[in-house]
Amino acid sequence: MNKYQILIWIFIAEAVLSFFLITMVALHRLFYFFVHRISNQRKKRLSGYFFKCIEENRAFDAKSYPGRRRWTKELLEVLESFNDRFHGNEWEAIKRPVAEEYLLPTARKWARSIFWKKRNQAARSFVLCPTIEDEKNILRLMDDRTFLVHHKATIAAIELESQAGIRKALVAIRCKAGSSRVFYRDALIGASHAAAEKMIAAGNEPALRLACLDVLSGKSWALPIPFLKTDLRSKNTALRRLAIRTLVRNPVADCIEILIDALKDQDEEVRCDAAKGLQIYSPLANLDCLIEALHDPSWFVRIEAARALKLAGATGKALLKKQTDSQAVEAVRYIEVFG
Amino acid sequence: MMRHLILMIAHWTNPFFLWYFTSINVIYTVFMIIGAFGILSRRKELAAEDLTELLSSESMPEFTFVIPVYNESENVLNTIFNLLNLTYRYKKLVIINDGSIDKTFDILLKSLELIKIPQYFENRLPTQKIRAVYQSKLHPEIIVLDKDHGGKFDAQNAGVNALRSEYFISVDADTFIEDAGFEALIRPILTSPETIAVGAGVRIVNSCTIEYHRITTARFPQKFLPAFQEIEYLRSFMLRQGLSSINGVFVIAGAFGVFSRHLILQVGGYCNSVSEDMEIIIRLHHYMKKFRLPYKIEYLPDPVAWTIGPSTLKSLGKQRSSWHFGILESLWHHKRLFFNPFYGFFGLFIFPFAVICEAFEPVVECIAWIYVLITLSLGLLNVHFLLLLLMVSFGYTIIYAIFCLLLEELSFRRYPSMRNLLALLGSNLVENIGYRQITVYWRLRGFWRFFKEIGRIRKESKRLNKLY
Repeated sequence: MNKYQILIWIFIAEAVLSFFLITMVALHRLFYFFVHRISNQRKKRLSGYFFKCIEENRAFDAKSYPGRRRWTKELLEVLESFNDRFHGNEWEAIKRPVAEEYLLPTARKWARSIFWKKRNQAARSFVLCPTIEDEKNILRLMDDRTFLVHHKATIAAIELESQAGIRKALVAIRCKAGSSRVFYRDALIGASHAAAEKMIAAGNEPALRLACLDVLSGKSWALPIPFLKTDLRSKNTALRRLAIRTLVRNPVADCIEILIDALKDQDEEVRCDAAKGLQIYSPLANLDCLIEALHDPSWFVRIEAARALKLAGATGKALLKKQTDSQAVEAVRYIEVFG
Repeated sequence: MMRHLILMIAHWTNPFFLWYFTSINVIYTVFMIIGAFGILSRRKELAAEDLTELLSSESMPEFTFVIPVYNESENVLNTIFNLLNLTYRYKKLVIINDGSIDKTFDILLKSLELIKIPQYFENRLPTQKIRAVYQSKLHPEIIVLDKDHGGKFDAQNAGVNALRSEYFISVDADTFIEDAGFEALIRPILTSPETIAVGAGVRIVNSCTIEYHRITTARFPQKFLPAFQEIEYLRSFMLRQGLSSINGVFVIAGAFGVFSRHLILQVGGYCNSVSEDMEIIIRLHHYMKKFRLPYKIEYLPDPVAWTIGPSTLKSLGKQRSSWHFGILESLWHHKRLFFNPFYGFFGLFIFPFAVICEAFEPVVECIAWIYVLITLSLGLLNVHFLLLLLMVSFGYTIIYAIFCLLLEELSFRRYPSMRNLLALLGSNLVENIGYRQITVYWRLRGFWRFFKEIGRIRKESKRLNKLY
């Protein structure tokens, strides 16, 4: 083969490759169109069936069910979207048998799959219908390397109110650096009363205390939290910060005194949160502490203190007007404009 | 004699040029294949990802957009309202007016109803004088810093000083961000804590329809120049995808990138460079490798930001020569990484790749064309060599761009209409004639500027080396 023949071959190879790639684009367009269409039609049939069940208030009946066993993906997506919108016993009466019949057997198989997508579908199925029988599978999926698997498995464990699962979620909040723990925190914030009780019980363990307080600072909890007062006096700044945030969200009988004390804390964030807490109780509180906080070295504490005074009513507003110190006046002006 | 000399040179240069371009193509192909795997696995993730869950979260971290503006009276409000309209709830905007001499600040003052507030932050990074700090009465999440002119890097440093969140997003004043893309972008930070910076695909907004400060219809640019830029963006995005898979991304577009505030403070903030976006990424690599810290710099395939591409030759030429100048400047600042085994794979392969295949590519290409012209004028042109060179450089570029198009089609399908696809293909074929050569010229101008400013660059290099 001479050098010009080589050239021609290279040219042909490039042209064929280009043509092949362009054909792939066109074929994908066609493929996408049909696959999408078929999947949408399946979902439409399933959605129609579930709507009918809800409208006629009847339970699931395998004979009238229009789906096939292999429509797992479509069924999962439809059930998830219904589950976001419907709650209560009627919906549970439809969802559970469908999930048990068509999703869970596959999910149990897929929980051990080497493909993360299958494990993800398994975890999502467990979220829809968590059962004690599947606790082992769920706990194993919580240790999965893939975020989209272990995140869903955590939600399933909390839905199941599994003691081991809740503990695992708290451990993950404690151990996982960065922001990845926000998903566990969210899952625990949305937990049922029974699951929250189990979480607080687990929070008695000193190692899990921070994680537990982190969740409680975002959750309203009507019952007393046993370790809160101890943590408010802790030497650990992170613990104090979370404890004060939890207290603001879940007040106790003597919380005004605690918040006033916290206004003198060394940490800026603790003082800031205490001032925020006093905004709720400022009509009842001794306002001198807030006047003092108007001279705090931190701009954010000064603003929150000014806001608390403004919310204290006429007395507070009058006190704000009397301020002459430049820093306090700045904070007062800021509150006048931004509220 | 002359003829003899040229023939002697040709004996060495012909294989050199072919070897050089073929090596670049091989490396690009490797990155393309690695990147394709990354994109396809991301596509799978997207199908399983539930972003509404992310949005309804109560525990999401706050992100602050840092937007330096200098004489951006035309675009600044569009960008601000686009960011305000993002559905992500925990966001703040820090806009830095870098001593604009047009009406930018007046527009901000009136449209956002700015109120002066005390300077609530310390200047941890040195910057030009901050004249005043303002907060918007209409949108209290907006803070505006009015400062003396100091350049984009200086404005960004002032922004970093002013923010309080752990992560910030550096955005240009002519950039539009999409909701879905933005949510996808923050996920790597949430899911893998070692992520210190994230970049994402940037596209050209020129022919897109913008309604209520949002992109409602994505369209491939209708004019030649923006269309060529779009293809370049697609190609470079594929390269970065490949680099991201091996943690070797050395540039995140200045138009849009997420960074950890704490780390930027630790490495001494942005430096006085035209291409501060590239420099800061190389510095982060340099710093993390030096102290043997685990880290990840990710480049997401999801198209997130849309930016206005220059639509005249003059403005495009200015942009390209300053980009190339920036590349040279950044590489110079970190020259000790070059083939340095201490910096691992980054020092041994990625950094040399940036120097040899990115920075010096226009020089080699220019010499190749000059050489072809000389031999042609003397009647000594080796036609076989010329055809081979065209196939290696032009032919490969066309195939590469079509492959990028295929991946775009398989993953995000941002250009759903067939007409857009055909326009993309057409522009891909045309750009090799004329446009490619003119970009080489612009990039060579970057070299000229680099040699002119070498004194200042050396000084800055010394300062950077003392930082850590």
